[in-house]
Amino acid sequence: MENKDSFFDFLDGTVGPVIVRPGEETRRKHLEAMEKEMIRLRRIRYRNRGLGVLGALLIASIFMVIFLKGGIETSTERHGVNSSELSQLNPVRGEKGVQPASLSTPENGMESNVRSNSDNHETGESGPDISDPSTTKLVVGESSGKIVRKMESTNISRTDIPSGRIDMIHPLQMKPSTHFILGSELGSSQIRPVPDVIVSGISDMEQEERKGVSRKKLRLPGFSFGLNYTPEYMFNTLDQTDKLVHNTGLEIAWRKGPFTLRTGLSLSVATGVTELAYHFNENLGVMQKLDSVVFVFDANGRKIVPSWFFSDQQVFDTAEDVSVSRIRKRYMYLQIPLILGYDFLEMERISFGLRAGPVLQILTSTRQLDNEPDYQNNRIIRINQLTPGRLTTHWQALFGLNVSVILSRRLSLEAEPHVKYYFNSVYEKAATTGKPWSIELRTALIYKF
Amino acid sequence: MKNEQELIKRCIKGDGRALATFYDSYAPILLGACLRYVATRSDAEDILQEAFIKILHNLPRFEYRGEGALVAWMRRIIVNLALNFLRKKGKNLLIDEQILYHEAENRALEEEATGELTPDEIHQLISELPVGYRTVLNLFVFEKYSHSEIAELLGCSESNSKSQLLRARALLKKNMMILMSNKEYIPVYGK
Repeated sequence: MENKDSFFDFLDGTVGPVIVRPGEETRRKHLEAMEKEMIRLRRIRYRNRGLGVLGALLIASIFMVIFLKGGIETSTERHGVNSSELSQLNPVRGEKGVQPASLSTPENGMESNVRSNSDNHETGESGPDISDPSTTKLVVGESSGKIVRKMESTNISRTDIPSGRIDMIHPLQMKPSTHFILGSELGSSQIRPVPDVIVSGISDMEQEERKGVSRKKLRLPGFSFGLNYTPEYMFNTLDQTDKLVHNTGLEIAWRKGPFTLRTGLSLSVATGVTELAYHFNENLGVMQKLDSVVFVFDANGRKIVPSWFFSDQQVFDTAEDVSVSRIRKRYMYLQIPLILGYDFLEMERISFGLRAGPVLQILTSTRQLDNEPDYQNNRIIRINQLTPGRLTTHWQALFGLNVSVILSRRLSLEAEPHVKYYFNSVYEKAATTGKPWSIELRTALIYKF
Repeated sequence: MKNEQELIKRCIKGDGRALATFYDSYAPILLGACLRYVATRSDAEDILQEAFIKILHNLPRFEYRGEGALVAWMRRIIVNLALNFLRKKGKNLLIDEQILYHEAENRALEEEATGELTPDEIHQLISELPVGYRTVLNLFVFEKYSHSEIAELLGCSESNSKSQLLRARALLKKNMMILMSNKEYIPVYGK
């Protein structure tokens, strides 16, 4: 203790702690205020929990909506025609599709059936009236030297088409050189014969390639969902031992052309050591303190007999000792990234791109991993935390290189080495000379809706 | 102490009886600590209430580290609140240069310090010291703060804190000597 002298010891020993009991009225007033405050705090806790649950539900519903929407759009895109278009493909009856539409060339026995999977196709309620000549016309084409007929719908926009799904069936009697691709797969609403065969049972990717779809079509625009794991190694931190941070989370990305926008939620687990300086008076043992003496007159012996009553009292050294303890703590953060990406090189199955954006990190929980040091009977005077506490919120900037490997039409793997710069320190006080920064490797499995 | 930990847990849950026990156990110590800094009892009681509210707020985050830790933590809270109160009241917590101080006189007095005063009398003399002196003396002697911590708390330099402590010590000794020698004692310096 600096500048400690005998006079201060004398003061400390003589005056000691002052005990002043509050009056009864004050006590009542204070307890009332404390109880009110406890009720208020409990309400705040319940409200926060409720908001947390609502937030989680909101995020879950957003994911579900996006997922469902993505699923329906994908279904329509893949097959290129739906029940309303189907109803237009019935040139024979000239009325709303009452039965599954059929295009046939009776002359050579070739037949391409288009069958609707929608439950209500038999009611004929879906789709515009094909008897209207302004919207539908019959187109005659040539296939294998024969005349074939098909319907060309001219004025039907995609938004007019209710959702539904049909399957293309390639009949056994169909000649290998002839089949129809529904026009919407090619960007128009025409049906054209193409010199290739659609064979059921082959993979989606092979179908795409056989249809002449560009390889870039493998990277379809729209939403994707991913799971990631990212080990991170930090620099410029106080702790020289626990620099490895583990991050894992869910992400959702939106892609248009070579650009992607990605966000999500990640959990980040970091460990660190907190140094605490314990100031204490050492326990020297127990002394017997005389509480009272009772004198009893012994009539027989004609003498006064004293009775001594003692109690144990702990004795502490007046010198102040300091002991520094290192306690490991686990910090759990919630990370919310907003990453913008640009793919500068796209090959058949692999692409390379740049990623950059901010990441918000929020400290959600702190858990102590080590036990408290045992100071037994020593009297703790005060505890100073030498290591500064951690900030609850801080921002980072992320820059990275993305390598994406396409496994199938829907699945892909991504590896992304990052450099992350922390705009503000993770500590409450500026404990290090420079801002922390880190390198990390994000690995993710991506599912395309 | 397990009882202390149990009491903390029950207070966090909002148990009314536990709150009363908690208050009865620690309010006297905290009020006593507060009265070292604040002159009037009503002000000290207001600060005590504010301190308990703040303690309740932060109790879930308090990490129990053994016997004495809770009291030390609460004392720190109430001392900070008392210092804030003094600042708001416009009290100068830094060096009060207007105090008359004679080095020679005090050097002589220091050599004669004895312990013939009662604790209440000494406490009274401390409470009559100027606010700045009293604050530094209390923080250093009774709260065991270091000069660097006092400097940070009061927003002054370490050397300022040291010199203020030295002057507080000398003035207190002088007043003690006056009181002991049964001279007419007049508290010259206001609170």
